[in-house]
Amino acid sequence: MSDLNDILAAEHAAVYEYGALAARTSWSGQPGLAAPLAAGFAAHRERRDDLTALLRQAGAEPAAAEAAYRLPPMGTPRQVRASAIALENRYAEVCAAAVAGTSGADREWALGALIDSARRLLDLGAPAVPWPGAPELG
Amino acid sequence: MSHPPAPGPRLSRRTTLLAGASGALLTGACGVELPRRPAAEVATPPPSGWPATPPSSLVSPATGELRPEDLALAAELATAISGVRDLARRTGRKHRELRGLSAGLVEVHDAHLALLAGAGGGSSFPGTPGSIAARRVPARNRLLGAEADLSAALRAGSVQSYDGPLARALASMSAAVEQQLWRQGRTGATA
Repeated sequence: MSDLNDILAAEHAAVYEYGALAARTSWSGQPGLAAPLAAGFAAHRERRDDLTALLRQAGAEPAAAEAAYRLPPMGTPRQVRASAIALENRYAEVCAAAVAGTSGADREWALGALIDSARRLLDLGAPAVPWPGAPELG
Repeated sequence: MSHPPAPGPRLSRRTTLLAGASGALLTGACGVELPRRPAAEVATPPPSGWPATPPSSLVSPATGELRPEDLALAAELATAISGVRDLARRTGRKHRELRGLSAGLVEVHDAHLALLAGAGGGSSFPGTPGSIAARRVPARNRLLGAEADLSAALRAGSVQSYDGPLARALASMSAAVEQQLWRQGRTGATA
C-alpha cells in the first residue's frame, strides 16, 4: 500500500500545484497553456479521489495532504509551463517507481497513471521521450 | 488488493541486470554492457510534500537476478519490438510523408531494444513479414495499429513481470509508445 500512498501524496501535491499554476494563467491570453493546466488539475483531482477510495477499501490509511506546498516558479507563462512539465515529470517518476513496488491490480493502476501522465506531458508541450518516468534508463 | 509474487528459482549470474553505484549497467548473456545515465544526473530532489523516488536499477537489489520467466518475457517483447521497428522503417522508406512518424518510432524502439537485448540474450531479431500498403493512409493505419498492439503487449508484460524494476522499464516503454500514438491522435491503451 505504501507505493500507492506515494502516488496519493504526489496527487495531493499535483492538485495543489496545478491549481496555483492554472490560477496564474489567463484563458484568453494563453489558451494553449490554460487548457492543459485545467485538464491536468481535473485529472489529478479525479485520480486523487479514486486512489483515496481504493486505499480505504483495502483497509489502508490514505496519505493526507500537506497543509501547504512550496510553489514552483510561475512568474511568466514560460515559467508556468516549465513548472507544470517538471511537476508532471516528477509525478511520472513516482508512478513508475510504484509500478516496480506493486503487483496485480495495484500495478495496473500505477501503470495507467504513468501512461496518463506521459500523454499529459505532450499536451503541456514537453517532447516525447523514450523513457517516461524512468529517465535514467536512457 | 494483490500481493507481490512469491519468490521462485533464479537464473545464474550470466544473465544479470546490474545496478552499480555509478549508474545502472545491463549485462546480458551475450556479454554486452550498456552504460546508462547515472541516476544522479537525471534525478533532482523532490520539493517538499512530494515522495522521494529512489534511484532505480533494472533488477531487484534483493535478488540481483531475473527469473527465467522474466527472461523469456523480455526476449518475447524484444522480438515484438523489433518486428514493429522493422515495420516502421519500411513504412517510412515507402512513404515520404510518413518519414517523420517512422523516425520517431524507430528511435524509441532502438532505445528499448538496446535495453532488452541483453536480457533477451541477443541483439538480432526477425523482421515483420508482409508488404507495405501502396497508399499512405492504409500504411499509416497498419503501423499505428501495430504500435498500439505493441503498447498493449508491453503493458501486459509489465503487469506479468515478477521483477519490479523490469516491470517499471516495460511500463515506461509502453508509456513511450503511447506518447508516439498520442502525437498522432491515437491511443493504444486506456489509462
